This record gives sequence, C-alpha cells and structure tokens, in this order.
Amino acid sequence: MEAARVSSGDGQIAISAAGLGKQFQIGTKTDARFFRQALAWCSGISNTRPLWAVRGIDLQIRRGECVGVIGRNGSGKTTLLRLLSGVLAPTEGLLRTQGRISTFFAIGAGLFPELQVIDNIRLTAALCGMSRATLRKRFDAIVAFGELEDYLYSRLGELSSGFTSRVPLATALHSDIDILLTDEVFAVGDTPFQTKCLAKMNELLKQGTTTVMASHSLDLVKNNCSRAICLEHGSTAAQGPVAEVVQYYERQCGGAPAK
Amino acid sequence: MTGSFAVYANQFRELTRCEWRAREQSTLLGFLWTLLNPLLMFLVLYMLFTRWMGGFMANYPGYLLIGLVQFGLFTSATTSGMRSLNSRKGIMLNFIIPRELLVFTNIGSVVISHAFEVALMLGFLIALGAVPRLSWLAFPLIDAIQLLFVTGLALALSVLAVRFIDFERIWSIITTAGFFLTPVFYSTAAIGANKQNLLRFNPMAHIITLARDCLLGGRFPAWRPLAALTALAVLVAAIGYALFKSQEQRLGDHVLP
Repeated sequence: MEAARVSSGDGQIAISAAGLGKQFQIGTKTDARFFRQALAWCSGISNTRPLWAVRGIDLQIRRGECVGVIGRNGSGKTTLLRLLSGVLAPTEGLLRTQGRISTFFAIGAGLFPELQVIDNIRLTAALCGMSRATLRKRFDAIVAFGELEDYLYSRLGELSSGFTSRVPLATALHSDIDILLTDEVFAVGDTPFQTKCLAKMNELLKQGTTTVMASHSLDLVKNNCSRAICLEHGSTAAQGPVAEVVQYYERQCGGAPAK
Repeated sequence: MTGSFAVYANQFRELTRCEWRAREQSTLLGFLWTLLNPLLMFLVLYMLFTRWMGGFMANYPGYLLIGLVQFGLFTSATTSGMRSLNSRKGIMLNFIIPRELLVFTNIGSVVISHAFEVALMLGFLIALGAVPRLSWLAFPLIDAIQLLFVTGLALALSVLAVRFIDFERIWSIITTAGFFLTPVFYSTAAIGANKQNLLRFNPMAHIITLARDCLLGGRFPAWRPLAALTALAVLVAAIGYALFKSQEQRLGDHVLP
C-alpha cells in the first residue's frame, strides 16, 4: 500500500489512519558515511536491515475525543505519535487529519540553552504558531503558569531541568490547539506543576481539543481518556474502551501494579 | 504543515534572531568575533601578498577585502545552512514547521553578520580613498544574486549532510579548495591563461569580480554577466529547493537520535 497523508474530509473525524506503517533501516546510523554508502551501492551489499516500528494501524479519532496509547518500551508508541503529527512520514497506509496539530513530545529539546528564558518563550510561541500579538496578550499568563517571573532574563541553561521544561510547556499549553499529541511530556517537573499541566489539559479537553496521549502511567490514561489503543511489537494488540484496554495490558504485563 | 504566511514569517524572524544571538552574542566579545575573522585573514594575506599583487592593481587592500567578505558569505552561508538540520534536530522532531525554514534561518543569521561586515568594508574602502559612487547601488543586487545561489546550494547540502554524516567534512575540503580557486587574494592577471580559463567556470569568481567592479571600478555591472549569474542562481536555487522538497519526508528518519 502506498503511503499518503491528506486532510480529512469528514468534519467529525479529527484523525483517521488505515493500514498505517513505518519502516526504519536499522543500522543506518553506523553506515551513514559517504564512502561506505557509495561502496554499499556499488557492491549491492548493505549492513542495514528493515524494521517495522509500527504496521497495520487502523485508527479513527473523533473531534474532542481523548485516546490513550499504551504499550511496553519499543512497542511503537512514539513512532505512532510522530506519524500522526507528520514529523515522520508513513512508509505505507493512509493518514487523514483535520485541524491544527500541536505536538508535546520532547519540546524542550529544540530550544537554545545559551539564550534567555524570555527569548525561548518567544521562540516556542512562534514554533507553536502563535502570532506576536497573541503572545503579547498571553505572555503574563504563560509566565505565571510556569512561575518564571524571577527567571525571565536568566539563561535557559542556568535553570534546573524541571524549570527548563516549564518554559516550553507553559508556552505551548497557551497556544491554540485543535489536536494535542503528547508523549510522556507531563512526567517532567514537580508534582504541583504536573497537576497544573493536567488541569490545563483537562480544560483543553473540555473545550473540545482532540487528544492522543502516549503514556506508561495507566492512571493518567484511565483518568483522562475514553478510549485506548495498546501496541505490541508495532501492531494493535487491543483497541476500545479505556478500562478494557488497560485491563488487557495489565494482564500482558503480569497483573495490575500494587497501589 | 503550518499554512499562514504570517505564522511562517514570525517563525523565520524568531528562529533567525535566536540563531544569530546564539552564534554571535553569547560570547564575551559578542558579534565582534564576526568581524575579527575577515579582519585577521585580511591582515595576514595583505602582509603576504601586497608586494606581489600590488603591482597588478591600484587598490590591493580594497580588492582583497571585497574578495574576503564575499567569499566569507559563501563559506559561512553554505556551511551553516548545511548543518542546520543536524544542529536543530530537536526542533525538527518536536515542532511542526516547514523544514526548509531551518536552512533559511541559519542563512538569515549569517546574512545579519554579513551586513555588519559589509558596513565595515564600505567604511574601510572610504578610508582607503574610495569615493562612494552611484555604482555602489548595484552592490545589493550582486549580494542578492549570491545569496540566492548559496541558498540553493545550502538546501541541497543540508539534505546530503543528514544523509551522510561525513559530508560536512567533505564540504569543508571543497570550500578550502574553492578559496584558492577563486581570485580572492590574487589577481587573475597574475596567473596563466589556462588557469584563467579554469576560473571562468567558477561562479564565485564572477560574483566577486562584479562586486569589485561596482565598488572599486565605479562601473555598473554589464548586463550579460549579470543576467547569466542571475539565471545560474535561479537554477541552483530551484534545483536545491526541488531536491530538498523531494527528500523532506525522509529527513525526519535520518535525524532521529
């Protein structure tokens, strides 16, 4: 099947995937040298092997729905979210999305530790599609949310890792979001900040923001999502109401964790 | 990808600002470092070659400075643009932005530094006795043509650099060789006819010659070389952009940690 990414025609469906798959060439990094590649092309011998990180994913997410993605390490959660966001292109399958997608992956990774916090707020806001006028209006709310008042003119790299992660998160959570894709991003920061982020996310959900949330925290998924998908070795092992899928996953992992 | 032009323009402005500030202003000497590099090269080359080259032209210091500044733009813009995807992979993998923006903003930050260099260069030329003439107005046009040319190259190079991790080293060798294959510090009159013919295939040789003609010679560029260079720059930019767009979907795969 050919890979394709188009905008959805059905106004009620925010994300629709059919037979979605992503193949990587494992070993490419060690072989990514110009002369070695040239040699491999000439000889026809390659040291890489194909690996399907996800394959055959069928998914329909309605507007305003919150869907959890669970699974063990290496099951394909991050790859699936990167495919849904468009950061990675599918190798096969069809993907339709409708609405402005905001990704909450490792959003602090792209920032400039050598620059001031205020510069990084402006940059994150721009990267999240916020206009300068909108940022001006929301700036105080962003700073208050991240409790960054005393650090605006500090270099980002001077802050603790918890505070560093607050800068992009506080900014991105105040941008206009139609579809929110999160990958364990709320696991950063201290408990009060995490609570604040989750409250903000709930607020977005109530406003009708479509959310896809990959997490190892089953409580987080159960408390926020109506449906879930469980991945195993890149394929859908279970999909449906969140309680059933979480129960299935817990069985696969050898029972529910002690509370 | 993000649609509106205003959003794109804002992303370009903020990323360029951050790239430039991160590159130039986070150090003790700030952007003076930008000027130090061509100045030091100028002093060394001037001391070494003024006696030899001084016999071929009236204003060797001006000739040398223009060559260094324009070739510096070529090297910095192509190298910085080439590295942009690898150096900003965090942005590429975590934000949904048009990926060519990373190349454009890295070149944009180089252009800001280049503007300071040009201002210093023009001041230096006046101090050396050059009189500002109408022909100086043609210099921004030559600069724009060069910018289009290097942007096309950088787009293509950025794709190669994410595909092959050693391509940055290969390009470093090519630009070093290019420096000696371009009349930056020597006059074409000082080399043999065969070697002069070789330089005819070097676009940077023509761009630097046009820049010198309008800044030192007081002549507006002749339309034929200008049209030929413009056509070449448009062609290189179109090929670079087409190559980048054809590979855009795979770029994420190559920069994954």
